[in-house]
Amino acid sequence: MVEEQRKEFRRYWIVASFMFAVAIYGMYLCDGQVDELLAGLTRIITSPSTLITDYVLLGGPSAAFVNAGMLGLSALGVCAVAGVGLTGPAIAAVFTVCGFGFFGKNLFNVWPIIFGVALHSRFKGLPFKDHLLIALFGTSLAPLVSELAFGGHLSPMGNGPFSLVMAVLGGLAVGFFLPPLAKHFLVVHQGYNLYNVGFSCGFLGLVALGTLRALGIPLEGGFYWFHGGHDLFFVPLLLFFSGMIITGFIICPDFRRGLAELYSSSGRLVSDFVQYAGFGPSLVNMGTLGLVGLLYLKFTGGDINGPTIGGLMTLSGFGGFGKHLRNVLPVALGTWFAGAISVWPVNNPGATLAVLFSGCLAPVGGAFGPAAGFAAGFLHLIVVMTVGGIHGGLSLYNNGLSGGIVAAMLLPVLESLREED
Amino acid sequence: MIPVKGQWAKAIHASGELVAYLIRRGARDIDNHYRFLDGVLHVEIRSKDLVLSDEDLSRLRRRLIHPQQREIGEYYWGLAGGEHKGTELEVVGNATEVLSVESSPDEGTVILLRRRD
Repeated sequence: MVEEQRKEFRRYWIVASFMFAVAIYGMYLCDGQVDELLAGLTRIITSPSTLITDYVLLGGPSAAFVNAGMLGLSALGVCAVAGVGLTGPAIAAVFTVCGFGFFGKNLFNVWPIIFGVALHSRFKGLPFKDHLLIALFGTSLAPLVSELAFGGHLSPMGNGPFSLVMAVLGGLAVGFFLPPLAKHFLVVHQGYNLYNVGFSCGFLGLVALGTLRALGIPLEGGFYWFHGGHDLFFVPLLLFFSGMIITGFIICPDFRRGLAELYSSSGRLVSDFVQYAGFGPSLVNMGTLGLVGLLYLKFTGGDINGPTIGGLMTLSGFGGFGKHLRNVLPVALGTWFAGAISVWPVNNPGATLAVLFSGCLAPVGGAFGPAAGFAAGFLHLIVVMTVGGIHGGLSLYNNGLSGGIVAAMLLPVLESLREED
Repeated sequence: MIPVKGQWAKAIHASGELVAYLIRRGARDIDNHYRFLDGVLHVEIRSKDLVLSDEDLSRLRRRLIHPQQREIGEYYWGLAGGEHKGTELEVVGNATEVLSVESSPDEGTVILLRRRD
């Protein structure tokens, strides 16, 4: 038991170090101009934050990194306070929250949702930790809070205390209703979509958007996308993901056995690599996935900005919870191929993000083979470029919604083909 | 009629997942025994005709015997008992307290678990 606690403590410290690295790099980028950093953070926090709001463009690189790092540390703090074991799912949640801290989640808009989930736990008489993963992943709906607070024009007098109250109430409401929905939506795709909360939040976002429209409240927000970024972010990210591999190697020099076990998994939910393959091999896997994603951006000429860094962080974070190269590559290749033959160039924002986030369907490739993974990836691009409109960007995990739809459609077909075998 | 508590239902369901695992490994003679002790449901699954290989036993123990993580067990519980052909060992391991997993030529394979409220 003492050994387990020691390992737990070490996992917390290592993940915290990576989150600190993100925040500290942001502070380094501000070059002593604290006023500019604070102004950037203010712009981020007071923006409607709907999909896609690139905080690197809106608030500046420094503020974006500080926001993301602080959010990652906050998520880690919530895990620690709730007493959650930091294994694959929790690590994926922390990295996802941090990653979306570059485009959509900020130090204000995540809390009402987390407290809403906590309220649900209290209502059900369950400890908050039972729903902690849903709370962290559920911050996908953070733009709803920001939109109500800073964008929705709820009051004829303009945004003010009333808007803030409505934003908090809106966040609490979606958080409160999320746990039963997230559990229910699992059944639809049988664990073949790793971004299950994104699937659930897509539908909640649809209801939220419909409600706002019914009340005659127009959505604000816009499309912010920083172009380029290779000169500024490529090397730091290279070091970041290489650091994961090196740390994994230091923790577990003989990581190959764990890595082999991890690679033998289909990745279907629940595949907690940290639990059964070890933290060291999982870190190596996480770093490798991040590096491959980064190289993809390099070779396709995709921009390195808030959303794509968020994609890389999420890709990497799920390296302890379902994703590895064997199951991710066929899906990503299918998504890339769909982009190559469609009207969406492979380096356009939507297609770039679709490839980075297509790993949500990795279990399809892992369980049914590379051809099925390729088909899932192909369909993913087609669906993801279509579904964004139904929630108006109020849910950040658009790829999770698409992944759920694709998995739900493909699964019965793949299962029936396998039965005939 | 005494209602079946949700937590007991989880233990009953979890035992079904483990029975499915044993069948997949070749067991054809399986006893599933339920016993209440001080309000806690204890489950013993015994298969006399199955001896697991060291590798399978070690893998099964790694998936089942570890500090219980309710946040995983509660959230992903919906996957257990579905029509999916595999078994949800990770969910079982986190939703119930698996006490021991043993396998030997004399005893066959025995899995003990319990679920408190």
